[in-house]
Amino acid sequence: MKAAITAIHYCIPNTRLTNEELEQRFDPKALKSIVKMSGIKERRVVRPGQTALDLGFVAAERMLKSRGVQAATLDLIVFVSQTADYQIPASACVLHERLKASENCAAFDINLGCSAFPYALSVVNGMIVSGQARRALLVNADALTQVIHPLDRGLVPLHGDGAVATLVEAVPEEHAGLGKFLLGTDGTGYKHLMIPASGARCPRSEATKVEIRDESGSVRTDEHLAMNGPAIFHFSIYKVPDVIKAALAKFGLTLANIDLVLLHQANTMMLEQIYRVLGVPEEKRFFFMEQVGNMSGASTPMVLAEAVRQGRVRPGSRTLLCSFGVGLSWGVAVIEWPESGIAPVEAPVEFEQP
Amino acid sequence: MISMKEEQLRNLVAEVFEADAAQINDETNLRSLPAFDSVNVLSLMIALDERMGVRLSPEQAASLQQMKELVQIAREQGRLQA
Repeated sequence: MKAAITAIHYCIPNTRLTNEELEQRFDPKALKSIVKMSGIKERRVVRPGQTALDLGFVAAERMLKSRGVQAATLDLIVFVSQTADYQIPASACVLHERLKASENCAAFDINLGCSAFPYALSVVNGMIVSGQARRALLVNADALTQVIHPLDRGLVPLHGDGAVATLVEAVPEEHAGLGKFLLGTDGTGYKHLMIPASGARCPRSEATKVEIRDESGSVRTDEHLAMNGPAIFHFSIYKVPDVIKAALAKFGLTLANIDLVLLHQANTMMLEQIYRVLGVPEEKRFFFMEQVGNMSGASTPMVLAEAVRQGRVRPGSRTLLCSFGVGLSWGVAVIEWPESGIAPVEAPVEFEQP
Repeated sequence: MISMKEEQLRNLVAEVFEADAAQINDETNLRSLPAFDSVNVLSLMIALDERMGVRLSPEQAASLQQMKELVQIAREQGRLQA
């Protein structure tokens, strides 16, 4: 038994946050630096009351409908997010209720950030290959703008919100599909990207609500996401190329065997550097962040979904995905596509249809 | 007399922080340059690696003050011989 991605679709909020709007909020000169580096021109952001789960539900519902798949036939729902609706219960259970899935459908969450997609795919793949599931819905959804201080000059220009639904199904052993994963962690860097007051270790209090303004004028509290930029950047540009090389060696492949290399959409300059160090030719590169921003754990499946929509994933080809970030954590997956290819989901991607 | 490599380093710093290379010397406070900010320090990390093979650690990048610190780092990594 093998597992294969048979459909993928995403959903983004309708609300746009443009660089012109950010110029009203931040020093234009400082904003120029980050825009130049990131290549991000606008992001999609949730409205008050809208959550990552809402986006994930819409992406999933449209994908299932487009493929003619009844939610009642799912036997696994995995929801992957760092911005869940509740601390308790798991969002996968809420999604299970909204989709009207069957009682025979397992549902659970995975809490992981930027690196989440290869990890979640690996878990779903393992459950299918071991016979515990045959038809799985994987939803990667994050609304980081809800946990970033609106005056954080370093993080606001980079991030957007979004969700991706992926249908993973059991296929015969000879079918192209999943199975090649390399996952890793450097827990010594857990403090480099975190919300300090977000759980039992540091309960929220009046003290954690106090605004902290750094020398650049950027503002946050301990209840907001905080990033050690140089540490994350250093990890990304030096560790990620090594991880991809190690993955290719593990799978007995070279870049010549890969048709498309998709990276976590953190920022353009960083990705260009990783591609350059690896020697990935232009035709094997693909970006999708300029109009949507970095969506943390939803970012890698989103770039894959958009590549499918744009016809960049060719039948019978191999796609390498590498996701990396908070944790510090990384994951590589190589996906083999069948000769019949993967058809794009014919449905809107915006939360509210016009 | 500064070496060609040192001149290359000054030109690179001037380019990233939008300054006049002729005005940069060992005593220059990098934080006083027109486009110095935490984001452009990350651009400097990439430019240094790509063009000169010099690697800045996260700690060095975060605490960077004077041009002579960069010269010292490049020298320690054997990237400033003429």
